[in-house]
Amino acid sequence: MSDSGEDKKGRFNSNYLGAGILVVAFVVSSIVATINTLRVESPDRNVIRIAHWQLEQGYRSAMQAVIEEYQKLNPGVEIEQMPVTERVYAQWLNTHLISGTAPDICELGFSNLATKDEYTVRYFLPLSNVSSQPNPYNADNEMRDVPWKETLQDGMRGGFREGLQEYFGVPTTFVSMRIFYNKKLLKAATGSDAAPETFGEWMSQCQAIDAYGKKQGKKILPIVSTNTVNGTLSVPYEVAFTANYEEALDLDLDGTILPLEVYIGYRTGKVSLDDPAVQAYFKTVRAVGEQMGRGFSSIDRQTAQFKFVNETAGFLWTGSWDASGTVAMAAEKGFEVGVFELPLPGPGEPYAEFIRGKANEASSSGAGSYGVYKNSKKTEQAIDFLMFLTSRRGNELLNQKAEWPTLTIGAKSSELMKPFQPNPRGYNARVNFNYGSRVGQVFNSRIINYYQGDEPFSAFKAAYEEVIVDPRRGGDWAWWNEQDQRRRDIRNKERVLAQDTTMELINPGSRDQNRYRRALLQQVTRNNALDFYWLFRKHRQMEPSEAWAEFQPVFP
Amino acid sequence: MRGIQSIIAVASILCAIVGARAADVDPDLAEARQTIADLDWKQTLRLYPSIRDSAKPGSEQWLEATYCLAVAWHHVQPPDSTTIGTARQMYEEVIQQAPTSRWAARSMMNLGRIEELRDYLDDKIDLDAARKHYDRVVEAFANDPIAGEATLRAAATLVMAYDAPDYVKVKQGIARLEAWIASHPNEPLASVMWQYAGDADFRPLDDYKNALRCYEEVDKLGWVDKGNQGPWYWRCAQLAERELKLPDVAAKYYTKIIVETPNSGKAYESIQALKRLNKPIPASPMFDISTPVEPSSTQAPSTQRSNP
Repeated sequence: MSDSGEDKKGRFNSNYLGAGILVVAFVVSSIVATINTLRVESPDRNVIRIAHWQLEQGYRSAMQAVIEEYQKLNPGVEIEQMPVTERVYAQWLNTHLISGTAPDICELGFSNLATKDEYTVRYFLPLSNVSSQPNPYNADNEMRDVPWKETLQDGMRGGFREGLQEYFGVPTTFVSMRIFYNKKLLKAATGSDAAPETFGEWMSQCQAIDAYGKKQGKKILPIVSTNTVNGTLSVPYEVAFTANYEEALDLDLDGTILPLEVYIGYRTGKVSLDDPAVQAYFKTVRAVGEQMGRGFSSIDRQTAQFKFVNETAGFLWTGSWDASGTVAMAAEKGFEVGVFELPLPGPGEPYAEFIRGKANEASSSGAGSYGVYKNSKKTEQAIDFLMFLTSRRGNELLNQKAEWPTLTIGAKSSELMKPFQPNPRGYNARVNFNYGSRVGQVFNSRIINYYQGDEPFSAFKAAYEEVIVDPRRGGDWAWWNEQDQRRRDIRNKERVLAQDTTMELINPGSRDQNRYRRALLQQVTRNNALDFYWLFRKHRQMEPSEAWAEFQPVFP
Repeated sequence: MRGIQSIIAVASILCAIVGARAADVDPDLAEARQTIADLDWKQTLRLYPSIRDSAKPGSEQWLEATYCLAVAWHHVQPPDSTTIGTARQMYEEVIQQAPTSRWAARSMMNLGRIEELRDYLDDKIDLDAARKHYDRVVEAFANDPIAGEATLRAAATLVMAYDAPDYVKVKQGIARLEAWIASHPNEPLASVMWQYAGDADFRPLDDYKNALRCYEEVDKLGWVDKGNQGPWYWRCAQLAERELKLPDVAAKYYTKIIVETPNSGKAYESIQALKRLNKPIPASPMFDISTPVEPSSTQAPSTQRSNP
């Protein structure tokens, strides 16, 4: 029998293992953190950190290519990108913003601190002044004297904060939706791999793919979508079929038909669900839904993409951000991807007589917007890098390599992205019957039932016609709610104006007069939302005080 | 001698230190001011009271602290009758202590804002009371730029009456703006005033001729919300083409949409409109039109809209 005490002494105590690992991990982490901090904070080094969540294929290497170009032009400056998965980006950014250790440049999104006005103003640098200056990295082209914001196709709208009347972000790309298709499958099914020219051709191709799948003993869905059908896919058809209503319904002559104006038109008999053009619109989207299979709304983004790349779907409705990955996966599977815009009924096809024209994408806002951290010690250098990133050369490099649409005027897209550049040709007004969140609950669920073939149009129509005239949930409530939202926006703008006037009193002459005048104009022309009352009296022939008596305004 | 030199040297150093401190803003004051820049009203309410307490009533620092506290009470969330009442009282204190100061002018304006906007659930809008505060600013600070802003606000309280069917007050509001601009040719807010007057002529008055006249004045002066004037250009073009039958004026605004606000969503339709009116189409990189396109000499202008 051995001595137990000696036994214990000779045996390894596993309790120490965990503690040991923790100690080692702590020491290693501390060393890495210290080295990183010293590296970034070192007075000998000029390091700018840029954080983003774009982990899509190709984006990081594209950003790195831009960084290397920039570093060549600016020896001594080092740019470090910090890609963070979108699942934790918000928490990660919040922690760093609050603790004062945020990167010099941050992609704006996900986090409230980077998206809500009251926080944005605290953590990010206003860029209006600098956005009005020419971008020096465009000195070699015709935009050398053009203000930076005007060198972007969206006029830098993607970085503008309406509530603060300031540019806080610099967008770097566009996003757009297109139909992707499997050329091999289409050729096998129809004998040709050419994209359809008209809606009728597209539907014929869908039927051919369906028949081909049955012949092969495979279930092939003609169309799948990564995005909701009642939205990105339906809106272009809504414009095409209903833009003609603009003259009758656009009461304020601003060139769009607001949901309130549609409601007024509906109440006054200028538009209805029975109008032939409106019927044509819904039936066209239903025809698309018919090619997506029953219950298509339960198919999520991943499933849709999976079906397409595995050749169990012929057409995929998705965005430019999926292009590079989808094309690469398709190549691995041995087929080529084609891309086209949603086609409209052509001459002689059903409903062609109601078509005004394509929906345009001229007013698209840029995406991938970056802001400069207010407490960065290198704000000028950070802005300089953003200027390079959105110069013609930098933006072309970033987006060509990432296979995303370019944003800077004159920056050429990659071949793959050419079909994704926003198309400025076409119309923008549309009749959207969906007015207010309460009507929306009914509208959105019932219209999908119709598009999926679960319910006839009459069921949707009955549900809509019941809810839209409901005094508590319908259009009158939505009207009240819109005026209440407008009233709140105006009240919030009062805070921004108060800040401006107070800073001017403290430090006379410091105010940006143009900014103040712009904010004042935007507030005063909205008339404290009292025009909503006047409009209600005029078009509903009722006193708003009676119709809206039960609704409680919201105060923050 | 050496002793005197030493005393002078020490005194100089002390003066330099004191001077440097005086030139710098007090760190507490700087911190309090930063809360305004950050729209952090709760912090403003925490930091300014001690500054106010330590300052002599009526002094510049006291006025700043009292005014900033009033602004913070005015805008801190959630608002109620107490927060707004405190703001009102503090604005009055500023006016009482220094009635001709810039702080008083803005305090009067803010008293008008309190009357004009609904701040909490039981709050009542009183446009006439608001106008009295604005008028007080116009009278007391007639030669100050704030008088123009007060006039704009006062006119707006008349327009917002929406007093159908005769719209007497709305018309008074527009007339007041036009009279002010006529007597103040260098008014910095003239463009804003013309735009506001044009909007009021358009709605509720349906006075399209005067609306377009006002917008033409804005166009001469320059649009304040540059880049976002596309909807107004479209309105001007529609009024000119559809209501007033002024094809040249319509063409001017269609052209402006293509050249100045191509992202407004209406550039393509503007090109179609210029073709319809048989007017020149400007160069547009967005539409790959590299040089202006002259109208066809054989084609007569048409007011008929065709579907593409």
